[in-house]
Parts: sequence; structure tokens; C-alpha cells
Amino acid sequence: MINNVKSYIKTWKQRNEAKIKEWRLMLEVFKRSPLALTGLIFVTIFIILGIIGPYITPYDPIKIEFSTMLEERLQPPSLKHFFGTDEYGRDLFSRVLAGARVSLMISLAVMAIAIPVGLVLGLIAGYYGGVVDEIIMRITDVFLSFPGLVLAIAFSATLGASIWSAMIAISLVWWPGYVRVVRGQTLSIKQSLYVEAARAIGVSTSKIIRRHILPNVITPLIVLATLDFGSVILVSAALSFIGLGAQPPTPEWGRLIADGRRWFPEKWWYTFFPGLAIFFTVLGWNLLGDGLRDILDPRFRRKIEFKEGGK
Amino acid sequence: MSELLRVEDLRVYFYTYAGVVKAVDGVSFTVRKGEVFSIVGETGCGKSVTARAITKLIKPPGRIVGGRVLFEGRDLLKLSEKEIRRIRGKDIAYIYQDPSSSLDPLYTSGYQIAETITVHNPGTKLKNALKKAIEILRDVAIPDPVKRARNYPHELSGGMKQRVVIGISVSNKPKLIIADEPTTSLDVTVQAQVLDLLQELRKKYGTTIMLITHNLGVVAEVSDRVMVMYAGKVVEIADVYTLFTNPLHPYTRGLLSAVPNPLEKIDEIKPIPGFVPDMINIPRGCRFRPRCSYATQRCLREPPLIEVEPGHLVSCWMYTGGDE
Repeated sequence: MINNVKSYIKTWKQRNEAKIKEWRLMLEVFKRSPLALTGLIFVTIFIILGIIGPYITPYDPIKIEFSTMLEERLQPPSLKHFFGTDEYGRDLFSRVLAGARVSLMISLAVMAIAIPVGLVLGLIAGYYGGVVDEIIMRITDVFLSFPGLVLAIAFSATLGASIWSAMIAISLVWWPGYVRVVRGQTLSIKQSLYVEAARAIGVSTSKIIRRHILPNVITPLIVLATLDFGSVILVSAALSFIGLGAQPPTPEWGRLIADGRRWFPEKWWYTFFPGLAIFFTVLGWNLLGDGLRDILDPRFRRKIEFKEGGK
Repeated sequence: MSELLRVEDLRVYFYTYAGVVKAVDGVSFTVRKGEVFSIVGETGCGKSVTARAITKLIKPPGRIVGGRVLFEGRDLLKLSEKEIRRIRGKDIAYIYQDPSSSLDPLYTSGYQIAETITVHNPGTKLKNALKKAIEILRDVAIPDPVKRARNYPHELSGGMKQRVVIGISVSNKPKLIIADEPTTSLDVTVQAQVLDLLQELRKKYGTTIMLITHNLGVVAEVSDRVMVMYAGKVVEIADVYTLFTNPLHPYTRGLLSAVPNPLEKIDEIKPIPGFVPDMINIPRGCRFRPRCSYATQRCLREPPLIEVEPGHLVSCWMYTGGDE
């Protein structure tokens, strides 16, 4: 009865019923997968820290207090300094918090460059094939033939050690992988009957690529990119570790580990906490990526819906 | 009945590494307005390629190397990609064999019908197109069309999906529907329903149907005229009654006797001996010659397609009249 009355009034809820259902199902999948949820929590913390980290540090992460430097240097973790202090008496907790921003910036920049490049080149190579495909893929192969990290080191060293050169270097290394994935996916979707059917109802080539191929390609790409976020952070940390990438006094996790190495293992906290930060961030992205793979697949969502009894 | 489609000497070759495959080699036929015209033949005889070539849907390495396709007097093969796109889905629509893969898994069935409408009626609001889509779903006898329009393909059964596909094809009221084995992947009971539906829609919209199938039961059930193809060539064309009562070409006869008839008790089904020829090394002369029990010396030359009685065309030396 109540439902009947309600159905006369078109609420926002009713107009967007399908969308709400879709989101609810996504949430449901998250709830059911504790690992994906863990990943989401880690990643959310990381992103929030990346945005507000530098503003909430208990101490200045960069400035060295020369007056107290000597008694404060290399202090073990305590209530005053959760993660201890470094050799200049700076609070490591503050430095690790501030370091999240550098990692977030680099990984976002790399994805912002590598994903669009990978998508465009992959779609063109996959859909048009022939000479275009050959040219794009051979260039891609050249990039892929080097181990990623080695190539990133080479680029970074050539461009000069800085965060910006690290971004550019990692992006240069990262796009070819996406071209491969997108091209492969495009090739298989291009063969599918629904693309042929779209052609047979008179849909133009550009619209076929945008409406039917791109959305079918993007799911695996999103999953891959999410999983890669962690790897990018790892590579950027590695670059900083060997002295390329972020330069002192910028707090960067890889850099912190490199600096703390001198004092390892007696002053274990110097390397341990930045390492822990990297570990949890990379793990978070990986878990989230895995979870997303399930969530973005509509068939998987339905399975849960059916189990729920069509709720 | 007037003529809707005339295909003349159509040739589609595939240029593969192994050699040139002459998938369709000089096929000619006409389709009359309002009829159901069937193309029958074994897998790989070129029936699907013929169908696709009509609106230039041949992908490399395939190429249409010759012939004319006159649709209402216009040669479709001479049209540019942009012009032919306006014909596809509007005047000539396709129904493919496998409904589960001819729908995009990421869009609802209603949206996919709406897309066809908006493609050919630019300016139509998607909202209105979706409303029309629900009407079409009702036309193709889908129960609860409002709800089904919001379903994704994987939420529909095979028969239901094929109805959606048929709905897509009729959404712009085409003059010709080319149904490429529309029932092959369906259950027998659903097959009958789909065939009935096609017949109904034909009556309702006055559409001409070109049916491609290897199922002779389906042919007997729905078609007006039949064309039999073998290895890229037309073997026989006749109206359905004549073809089943008086098949002339040895291949057609073999095809008919290879189908078990439930009313006659027979000891064994008679298959046609041999295999479909390797399309790269096609036998010289009549392509059926190596499997034909009537083959003689003259079959080494290619037989012409001749009209033995009004409307009954056959390509075999036995009916050319006169000898060698």
C-alpha cells in the first residue's frame, strides 16, 4: 500500500534507481571482500596524507633546529617522536607524513601521462592494425626491451636528479605496458560480434571506438593501473634511494631509507618506518586493484545480487 | 512481386598467406520485395560472406573484387563508407548467429536498441529513443519490456537475447533484414518461436527477409525461394516447393537426402561422400565434380547457371540440353 502511494511521486531515488542499485552492489562487494576493503582503507589514508600530510605534522619536517639538534639527533621512537629522529634531530614521523605527498604526486603524474598515452596509442594500433600497428608496436617494443627500472634510472640520470625528472622518467618507462594491454584488448574486442553488429547498424568508426571498444578496454586498464600505482611508488622510492629523484631536504620515503642506511641496524627506526610506509601503501594499492577487478565486472556483481535473493 | 535486391556476379576474395581464397566467386541472384529468400549451404560455402558483402562489411584480408549489388536500383558497392553507413541498419539490417556475442555486454538491452534509433535519426533524444525501444521490445514479444529494457545482456536468456537482436534490426523498419543463421545457437523450441516472430514482423512491417542457414528444416518452414550455394558458387535457385520436390543439382539432392525424414523409416542417412574442397585449390570446372557420382568429362569445364524452367535455375551440365 505504502509503496503504491510512493510510486506516484517521482523522487530522485526512483529516477536513479538503476544507478543506486549499481552502487549498492559495488558497496556490497567491498563489504564481502575484507582484503579489498583493507586496500581501500590504506589507499584512502595514503591519499588523505598526501593532501594534508605536510600541514598536520607535529614538527617541521624540513627545518633543522640547530639549538636542539645535538640532544635530539637519532633518538629512538618515543611518545615525543613516534618514529624517532634522524641525524639532524628532525622528527621522522613528520618527515614520513610529509613524504606521502611526494609519492602521491609522482604516481599521479605518471598515471596522468601513461594512461592516456597508452589508451590512445593502444586503441589506434589495435583497431587500425597494419602499418600503423607495426610502427607503434615496434617503438613500444624498444621501450619494453629494457628492464623498467634500469631505463628509468637512465632517463632520470640524463634529465638531472629532481622530482620532476623522476616523474618524466617513470612515465616514459610506464606507457608502453599500457599500449600493449590496450592493444591486445582492442584486438579481441574488435573481433567480437557486437562490434561487427554495431558496424552493421551503421555506427561510425569513431563512435564504435568510443562507445563500444573504449569502455570494454578500460576495465582491465583501471585494474592494471591501480595495481601499478604501488609499483610506481616503489620505483620512485628506488630512484630516490640511489640519489636520483627527490633531493634533500625533501622528505621522500626512498630517500629516507637511503639516508638511514648509514645508521642501520643500531638506529633501525630511521629505515624501518619509511619502509613500513612504502610497504603499506604498495600493499594497499595491490589489494584495492585486486578488489576492483571483481567490482568492475558486472557479472560478478550480479552473482552477489542473485545470492542475496534479488535484493 | 517487384525486385528489391539484385546481386550480379559478386566476387569476394580473401588474400591470405596461404593463397587467394575465392570465398564468393561470381554469385548472382535477385531478392523480391516481401519474400523470404533463403541461402543454404554447408559451412564455408560463402553464404555469410555473400550476406556481408551486400553492405560492404567485408574486413581485410577479404576484398570485394567484382560485381554489383543493386538495392532499389542503386549499386551499393559504389557507395562511399559514409553513404553505406546510412543504409546499414536503416534500409538493410542484420541479425547475427550468436545473440550472446552480438550484444555489447556493457549496455542495457534498451540502450542498444535506442542506439540504433539515434544513429539513424540524429537529433532524437536518448530518452525518447529508450521509450521507443520499450515499444520494440514489446513488438518482439519480450514479457515485461519496461524491466527488460534495463537488463544487461548477461541477465537475459539466449532466446530473449535473440529477440533483442531482432528488435535492434527492426528498430528502423528496414526494407531488408539479413538473418545470418538466426536460430543456430538456440534451443529447438526457441528456434520455432524466433522463426514465428520473424514471420510476424515481416507481415507487420512488410520487410523482406534474407535468411542464411544450413538447416533445411528451417528453410522448408519459412522461405519462399531458396538458393543453394557450394564452394562460393550458386548451385541452384528455385522456389521452396520446387526445390524440395524436384531438386535438380546432384549437390542439392545429396543435401536433401542427408537429412533424416521423421516420417520415413530409413536404415541409414546418406551422407554426401567426400569433403568440401580446399578453397585455395578449387577443383577445375564444376566445383562439386570430385564428389559427384554423375561427373563426366564435360564437368571439367565450368557449368553455366541456366534457367531450366521459369524461376528454377541450376548450374549443372546435365540440364544444359544437348550434349558435349
